[in-house]
Amino acid sequence: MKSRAIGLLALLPAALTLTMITPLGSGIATLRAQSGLTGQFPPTESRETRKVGDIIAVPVQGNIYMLVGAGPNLTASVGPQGMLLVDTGERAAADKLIAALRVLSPQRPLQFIINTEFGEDHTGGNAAVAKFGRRITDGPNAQAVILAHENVLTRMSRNNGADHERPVVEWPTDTFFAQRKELYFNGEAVQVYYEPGRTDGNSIVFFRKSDVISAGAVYNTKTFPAIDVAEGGSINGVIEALNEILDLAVPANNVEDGTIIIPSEGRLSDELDVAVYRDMITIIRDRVADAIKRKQTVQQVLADKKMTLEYEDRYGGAGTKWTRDKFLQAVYQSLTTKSE
Amino acid sequence: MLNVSRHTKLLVAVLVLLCLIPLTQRKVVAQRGQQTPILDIQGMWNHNNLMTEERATLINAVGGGAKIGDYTGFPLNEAGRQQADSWMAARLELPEHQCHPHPAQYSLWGPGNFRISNIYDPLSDRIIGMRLQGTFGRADRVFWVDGRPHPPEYDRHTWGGFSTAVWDGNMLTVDTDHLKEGWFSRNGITTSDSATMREHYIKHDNYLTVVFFVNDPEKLAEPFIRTTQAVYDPTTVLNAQECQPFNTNVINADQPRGYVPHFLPGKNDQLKAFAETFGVPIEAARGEDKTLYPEYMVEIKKWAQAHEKTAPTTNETREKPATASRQAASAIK
Repeated sequence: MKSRAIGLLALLPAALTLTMITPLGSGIATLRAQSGLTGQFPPTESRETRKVGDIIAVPVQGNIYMLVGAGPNLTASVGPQGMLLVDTGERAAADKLIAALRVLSPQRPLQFIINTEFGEDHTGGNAAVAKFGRRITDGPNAQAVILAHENVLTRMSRNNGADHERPVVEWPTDTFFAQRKELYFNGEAVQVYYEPGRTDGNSIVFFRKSDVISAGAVYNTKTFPAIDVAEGGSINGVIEALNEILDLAVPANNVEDGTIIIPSEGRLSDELDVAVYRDMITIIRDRVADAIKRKQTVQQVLADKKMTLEYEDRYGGAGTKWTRDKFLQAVYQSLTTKSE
Repeated sequence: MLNVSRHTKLLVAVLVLLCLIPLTQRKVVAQRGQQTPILDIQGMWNHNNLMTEERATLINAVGGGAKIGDYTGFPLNEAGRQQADSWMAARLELPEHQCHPHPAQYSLWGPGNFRISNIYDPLSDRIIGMRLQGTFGRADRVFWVDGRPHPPEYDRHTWGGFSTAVWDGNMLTVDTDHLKEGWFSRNGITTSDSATMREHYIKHDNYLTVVFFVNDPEKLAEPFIRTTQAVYDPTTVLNAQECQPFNTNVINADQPRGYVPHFLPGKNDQLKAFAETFGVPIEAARGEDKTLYPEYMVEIKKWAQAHEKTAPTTNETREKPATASRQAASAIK
């Protein structure tokens, strides 16, 4: 037994070592993790939001919510008159969106839809969501008004050979052709500015009392702008639209807060975020314009990595549908067409 | 026999207890991390008088503020370097760029005193966070210690970012994300809005040391790591919080709407001035990651020796390295 005791005593240093290594090991693990912070935290909400199925309604300020999960970000004004919705998202997400709208405004109807773009990702839910609303008439044909610039209707109603580009039930019911359309809803002025950029049908929507701008497709925080030159888009149009947003927005202290901008993709923004994006687009535009001035071809522009070097990981990297090359081609094409 | 058996049992019990100690310690640390600060770092901290010596020396040497083309000590990657090269100071005059504070990625390294105070849960009276106020431009921050998660991707980014913190032994470890794009230095060295940061706050008597790591693969070849210090000083005064109304854009007044001041790639003729004026190898001034390490001093010495051989003996001391630097600079566009 004496030898057994001695044997156990021999284990004592090992046990002591174990007790000392564990906290030290934790320290080393901490040090190792110090430069690799990404992905440590689950992407969960830290403030009050309303989640209905896959749709997340993020309160912005005043009457305004940003709706996430129906394709691009959507904007909803919710108040005593009911709802006004900016864009309707993807067609496949329409039912989920309607379920969320029911929760956001259980008593008051959806009265207005404003389309900021004719692309299917922004207008795919038009038919179903408009039918869920009520403005034009009561009864079986009741639906919400769908308001857009006339170019949205022009593009959606054009003949593609066999039929109209988009079903009639998805078309805007009310269009405007001036630079601005105004209405007053839920106790505040709502101004729709025609700002052609990604295509010739873009608008931005300014909720004046809530101090929120729904930027539509001309601004996002994830990718270069997906300019469609064939559909009337242009780089200078995008820049002009961004400058318009900057003119309308007023930041609070330290160029932070104040007017809030809802992008078509990505995160809620303030004026400075838009300025950073505007700067980036303008600088790239200037570089391409300089290359064109020096008689460079589009292939030469694409081959010049300095054109977008400091921005492409952020806005045109792996995983983005709208790549750096597509963007540069659009910029080049846009700047070399006669209208520019 | 009985005595031996008793000894054996005693030994086994001791061993079991010893083995349990690490588990107990871990649990205690976790509990502390959740709720209870081990160390009180509240108070007014004077930072201006204790900036790292070489940093203060450099700032004083160049006349307060970073010089164009001075990227020394920054592990910039190609993208970060090009962004700095294209930067033009007139951009800060644009109305939407006025009143930038130092962002959290930089604020504790730049000048500016600060105050740390606890935030208490009104019901339980437990500490749920700490507020850090002050620094240049007042990008005030909150470190949440109540275990709350970081915000989702669609939430806003701010100058101060979103921070959670845990007590790790005798230091407070803070993790921050949701930061705005800002500067590492006001000469175009940019930190992106994808950057994340880890800080360690360590108190020694009346001194507070902060070690911070900024991880920004978009702009940096490797994490940016620095330390800074502050001393407890109840008489410290903080910078003003307000910065408005915004000024008229005078510098760019004759430019068209939407003008963004910048240099086209290869067109910034000011980039070599810092290296030439201060006798720094152009390679070091360009901010490569290899220049951060002690081993790079060997290269510096070689550069200095090469210069000694080639420099004219009649020149003044300040001009000697500058001459060699010009030679090196001429090889780089």
